[in-house]
Amino acid sequence: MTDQKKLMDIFATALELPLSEINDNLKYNDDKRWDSTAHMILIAQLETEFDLMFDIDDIIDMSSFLQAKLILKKYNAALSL
Amino acid sequence: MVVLVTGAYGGIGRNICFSYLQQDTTLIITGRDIDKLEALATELRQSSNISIHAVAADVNDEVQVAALFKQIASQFKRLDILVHCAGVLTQKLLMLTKLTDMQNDINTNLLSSIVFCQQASKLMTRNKQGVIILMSSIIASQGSAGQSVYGASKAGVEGLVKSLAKELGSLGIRINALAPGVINTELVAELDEQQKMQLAQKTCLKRLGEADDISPVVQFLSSRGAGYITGQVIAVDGGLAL
Repeated sequence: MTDQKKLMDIFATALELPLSEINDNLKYNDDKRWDSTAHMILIAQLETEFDLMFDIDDIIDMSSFLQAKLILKKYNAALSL
Repeated sequence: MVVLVTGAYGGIGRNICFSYLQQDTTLIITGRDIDKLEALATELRQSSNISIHAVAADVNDEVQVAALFKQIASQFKRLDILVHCAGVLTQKLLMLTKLTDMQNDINTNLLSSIVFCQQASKLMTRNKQGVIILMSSIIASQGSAGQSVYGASKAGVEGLVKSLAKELGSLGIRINALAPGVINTELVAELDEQQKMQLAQKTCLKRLGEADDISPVVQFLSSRGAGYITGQVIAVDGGLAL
């Protein structure tokens, strides 16, 4: 599985959204399902699946799907932008 | 079950570490002094064959704390229980207390509790379960001359517990605090025997507490039996506060 697909799957699972709704325009708090609790679950799943630990600043900055990709690239995930 | 105990070689922390030996546990012990940690780890290993890991870290150093949790995440992939025992007490009248001493009390007792909760809850969220136990003090609710900064820091811990219980409950994480009374550890070592006796007489049970009085409560709060308890501050004070 590519990192891109893995990332989309994690977002879909954590935010309980269909894969079709996972795109770069998806933003924190824009969709009511991406609330602060879902954000914590999302972060935990990303850390588990990508086997990393985010800095707190990155957790705070992860305000969209696109931003998540940019941040994960810093941790060497192979993501296309 | 992966358990992290901070302030591990202090009187209360040490006793708590030994209380986890009877369980199927990976025990991570931390404190500033690696020699004391290793000595404790050796003692613990002589009493049990559970997995014990000594990791030196200053709870006031954010880089060392982050490294500790990164190590736990990479090595064990989970954290089930945090018992945050690290603490300090500056016994001085406020007018005689330097700002650096105030900051040390607040940072060690309160800010480190906040940071450890932040890091621990992040790891616990991975499995949607976890138990956090913090150390308050009976001074937080009762006050004590010469312990105003300490009391303020511990009152902050109690506020932290109540808000975090609301924040973390839906993630399956419980958080509680203990509020020990006068416990016969190094923190009261500077009191003379007469002072200790006077304090003992103020309790309902007419004795000072021992570290042995604390660890069973920690074990209970860690257990499934306490599965519906969160956001509480449990006094372990022999009735001192009554």
